[in-house]
Amino acid sequence: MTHGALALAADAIAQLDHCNKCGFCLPACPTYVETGLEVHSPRGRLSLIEAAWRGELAVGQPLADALSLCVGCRACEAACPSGVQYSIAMQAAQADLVRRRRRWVVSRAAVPPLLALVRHRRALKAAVRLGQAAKRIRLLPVPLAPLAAMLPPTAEVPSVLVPIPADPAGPAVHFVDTCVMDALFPTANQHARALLSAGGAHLQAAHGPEGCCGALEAHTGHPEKAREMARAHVVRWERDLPPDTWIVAHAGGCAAMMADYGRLLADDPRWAGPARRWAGQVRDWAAACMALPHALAFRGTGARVALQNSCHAVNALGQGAAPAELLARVAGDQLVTLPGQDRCCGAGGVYNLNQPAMAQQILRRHLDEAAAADVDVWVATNPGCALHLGQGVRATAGRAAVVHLATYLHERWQADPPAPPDSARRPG
Amino acid sequence: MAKAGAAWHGQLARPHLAAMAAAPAAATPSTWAQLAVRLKPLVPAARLLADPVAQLAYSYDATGERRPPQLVVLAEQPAEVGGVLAAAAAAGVPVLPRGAGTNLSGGTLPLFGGLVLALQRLTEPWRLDVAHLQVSVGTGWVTADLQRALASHNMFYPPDPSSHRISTIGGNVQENSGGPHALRYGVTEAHVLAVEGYLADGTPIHLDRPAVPGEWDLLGVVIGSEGTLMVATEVTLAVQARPAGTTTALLAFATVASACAAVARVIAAHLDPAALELLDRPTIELVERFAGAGYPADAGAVLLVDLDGTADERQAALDQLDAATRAGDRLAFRTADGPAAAERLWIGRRAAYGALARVSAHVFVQDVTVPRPQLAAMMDEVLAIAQQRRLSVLTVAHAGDGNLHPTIGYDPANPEELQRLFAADQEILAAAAARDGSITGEHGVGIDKLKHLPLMYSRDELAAMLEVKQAFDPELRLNPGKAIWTVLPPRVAPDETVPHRPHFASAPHLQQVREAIREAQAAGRRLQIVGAGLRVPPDPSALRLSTQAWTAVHHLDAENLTATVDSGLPVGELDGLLAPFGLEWAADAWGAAETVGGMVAGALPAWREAGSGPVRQQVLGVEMVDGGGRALRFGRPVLKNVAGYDLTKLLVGSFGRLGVLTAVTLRLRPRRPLTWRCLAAEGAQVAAAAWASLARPDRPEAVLGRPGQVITAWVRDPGAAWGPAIADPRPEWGALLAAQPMPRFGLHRCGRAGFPPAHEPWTLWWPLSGVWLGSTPPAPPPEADGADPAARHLAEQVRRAFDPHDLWKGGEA
Repeated sequence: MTHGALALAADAIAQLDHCNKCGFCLPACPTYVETGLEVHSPRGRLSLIEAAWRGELAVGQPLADALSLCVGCRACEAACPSGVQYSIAMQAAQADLVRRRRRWVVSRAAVPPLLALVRHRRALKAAVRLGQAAKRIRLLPVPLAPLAAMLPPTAEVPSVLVPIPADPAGPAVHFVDTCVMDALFPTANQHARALLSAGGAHLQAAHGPEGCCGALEAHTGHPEKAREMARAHVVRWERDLPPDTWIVAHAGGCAAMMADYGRLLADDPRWAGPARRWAGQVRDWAAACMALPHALAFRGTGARVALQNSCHAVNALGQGAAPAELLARVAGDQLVTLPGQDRCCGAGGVYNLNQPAMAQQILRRHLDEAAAADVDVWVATNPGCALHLGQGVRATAGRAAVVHLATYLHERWQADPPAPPDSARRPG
Repeated sequence: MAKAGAAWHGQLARPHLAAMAAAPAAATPSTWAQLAVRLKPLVPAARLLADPVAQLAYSYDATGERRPPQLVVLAEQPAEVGGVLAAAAAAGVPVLPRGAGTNLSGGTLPLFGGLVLALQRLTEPWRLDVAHLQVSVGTGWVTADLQRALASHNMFYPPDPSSHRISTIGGNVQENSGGPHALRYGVTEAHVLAVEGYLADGTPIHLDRPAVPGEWDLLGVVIGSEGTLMVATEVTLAVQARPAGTTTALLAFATVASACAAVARVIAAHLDPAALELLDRPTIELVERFAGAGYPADAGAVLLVDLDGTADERQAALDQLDAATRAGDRLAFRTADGPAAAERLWIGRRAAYGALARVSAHVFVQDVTVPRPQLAAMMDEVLAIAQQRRLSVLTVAHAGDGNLHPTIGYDPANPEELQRLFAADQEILAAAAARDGSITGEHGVGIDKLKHLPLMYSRDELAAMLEVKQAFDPELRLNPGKAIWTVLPPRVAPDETVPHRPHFASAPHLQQVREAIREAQAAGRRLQIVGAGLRVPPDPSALRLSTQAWTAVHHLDAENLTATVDSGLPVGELDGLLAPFGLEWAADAWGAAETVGGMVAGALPAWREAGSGPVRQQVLGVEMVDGGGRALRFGRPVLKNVAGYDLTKLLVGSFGRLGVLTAVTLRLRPRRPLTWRCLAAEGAQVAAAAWASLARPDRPEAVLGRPGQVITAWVRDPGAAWGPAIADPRPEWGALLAAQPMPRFGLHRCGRAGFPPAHEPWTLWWPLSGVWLGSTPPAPPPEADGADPAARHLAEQVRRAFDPHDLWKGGEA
């Protein structure tokens, strides 16, 4: 091969050095569980990256194909006794592969336009509406078909919620309208804000258009673009927000990405310090709700409710317990803990577009579990997961209604709980 | 392109291997091409991997070295395994069976390249027989998945190596894995009832545990053979009821010495903890940094103790534990009830390996076992070695088993540090061997400890292991270069054993045995080995060798619960010696005059198989002379030992056909008074009641059926539910058997799920061993009972290796 060895930065090499190949990551890995193949295990991928870095394995399509099957759920990091940060090595390898030859890594036609869209929020919203319309009249270019299959059949119409007055005594919170949520589940964003306020948060605004957090870019081998996006966020926060503001997102993947800004911008002479500080302020929405001064109360309708957690909230942020704790507060509904609740559903950002077969195979287990448990409402905490689950439920004629956590909770929110009295504020 | 055997980065230089491991003939590319053609109709192309990426992904195990195979076959059906092995045999290429690849000794490393047979997809069948407490599973089952599946039936398979969440049951069998809870429940070996699989040439084979005298335990040798003897596709495991509950205690001590003294007192108090783990000070400091386990900061060592049983039993055990460890400088005693609280206490133990891995580039985990009273001295010695070699070591230990894991962080890129590491490694292993311990308790020999095997075994003993290997795999193609030596060093002295072996206890008898062998050989006569001579009719055509004069007790270690005694020692006499220590040998005698050697060679069903297991569980080691006059010693006075093949198992039940036992190392147990009860039952109720008693979490020590009766023996008397109390019936039963002279006494195999046939008059039935005693001798000769033709052929090959002159062939002991 003419390409030479894989080029990796020191922090990626350090991860390779610390892997003792004990194999404890294998059972945590969704693609290993599906395939039973060492190649598709975290240990296998790190070994391939190491060999390619040492020049013992050719850098080319076979290597890229093997690495591309990783969903990026980071469950291996949570399982690793040695603290190996797999995603650092993986993203570095992906980046070098993309740098050498883009087509090695990103294979599906639908993905590059999608990546372009997330950088332009309005265009993304328009595309979603267009896609839904095209789907209704069955008029769709072939490469975009898998993308459209993901979309809910009808557009969500933002409901108008009267804002809850800000509580200046509460913790300052900046809620990030994550882009895919904003385009697909705009009401969920409103619900999330409303509940934050109800819990006593003092919502803060950062001005100017809010871009993508960079997660999709970082996970598909475009670290430079991801850094650009990260920098844009940090600049705005630094400019507009009080220093102790919590940065809250209710897409686990975005929250995890923002919590990683310190590392991502570590070499940025101007923004490394602020990025590190702001990264420390990031919380997943559910964890933020649990930490607010006023406990939220919910009343359900006797539904059997299951949770599909966000891999990154669970594995990267270590905040996976909060959504289940919130759900457990819903009096009247029955929370069913599915075995796969905290395991990856196969959505993986754009993974289900790049690797549709494996994404569906992974999803199958979750669908079977939900069907076996006779779930009425299936709550997701990530927009990608919600789309993926929804598509799977529709395709298998399942009966579970897939909703975002914020929407589910907002519908059941008791604005007038018996106590404490100071939380008796409601919209309208 | 990954080249097989390519010199990749990070490989340890092992020039010494050539002197102990025969390299298979190099296969040419055309051989591989032909093999691919042969495999095509057997396995779909998607499951035959030969690309560089796959070669790389199957080139390593948890030791971290990498040697690529040429071909990886993902087996999904047992029959495919047989087909692939036959094709590989025709092509003459090495085959490595592989589970999850979590081996810590290089056992799954394709040292010479070859064909990796990946078995983790072999998850069929799943046959749980709750009634008879057994489960048959494909060897690809992940151990933790198996444990979870069993738990949903309230059943329990105890071995829990730290890799159990991913390691396969097939790998656990091949490595004889242990784990913290092996202390009370035994290592993998104690739970395996049978395996199905294939020999290296693709011959199907079924091996199960011997049930009647004259069958020897080939399965016992396969367990722990590191994939060098056969490929198992299905394994049948004994399971038991889940314990009623677990209480965990954390004990902190000022020094390692006082913690070890506490361990000794716990053992001496005859507590039977489920786990007894020790962490030393460097470990505590490190895990506190990473895991915040809350262990006392000033502690020199902490112990973690799991106590299983009912709430009452656990409270009683906890009180005893408290009392037994209060002396000395105990700093803390905390208890936790329930899984969540227990997990908080265990967190530091579980984090130990990872914590070190976070501060070092790589981690070297050592694995040695010493007799339990020597634990403190051994830990001191490890520290001294590390200090002298300027390495930092932390030690966690399965203290109750005497099994230590000194763990050293190192940088593989630093050759000078590597040299110091290897030197320390050699010294630690030598220190364990010098204490009559084992160089590996549960991780295996693999390639890592191949060169250290002579610390434990003589040339003759290594040769005996090789002969067993050749019986199974004459071409030495299964997992070559692992576990045992396939190249023997030149013989330097006529007798490798006696002058150089301080631990060979029965050396004084060797001359007599060898003379008898020479005499019989010269006269062309058989040699009849006679112990007590209770049931052996004299063979007028044979010369006689009596063991009755050999009655020495070589060691009796009441703190280690082991003894090494001459084989001629009558069990009644042994019992008299053990009683003052509150100990006993649980392989109950069928008569006080019976000799220890006779009990071991006869391997009669044990009365108390339910509580203590069969006779083979009571034997830790043997000293013997085989038909070629070689003095051999296998096993050690330790509870965990996976160094080389476990040939001790072969001698248990060998019926005097493989050699003369001169001494035996016994596992002792606390002597406990038993309450015997007799429940009246009719017909099928006998079996039903017997199995119901065995399914209890507090299963009885003994469960036997008699026509119309189920007889049970209890440590904690459950009351009259199991019938009225009766006097100890064992003397009566012993007399029953004594009236039935060998060789044709009426022991019949009916299998675990079986029962004595209705038309046969029978007197006793052992449910767990699947054996019954009748008044008629079994129809076929006992050695053919239950064994398949391949197993019989193997048994004969093994017999020839041990008895080349047919001194013991054909007759009965």
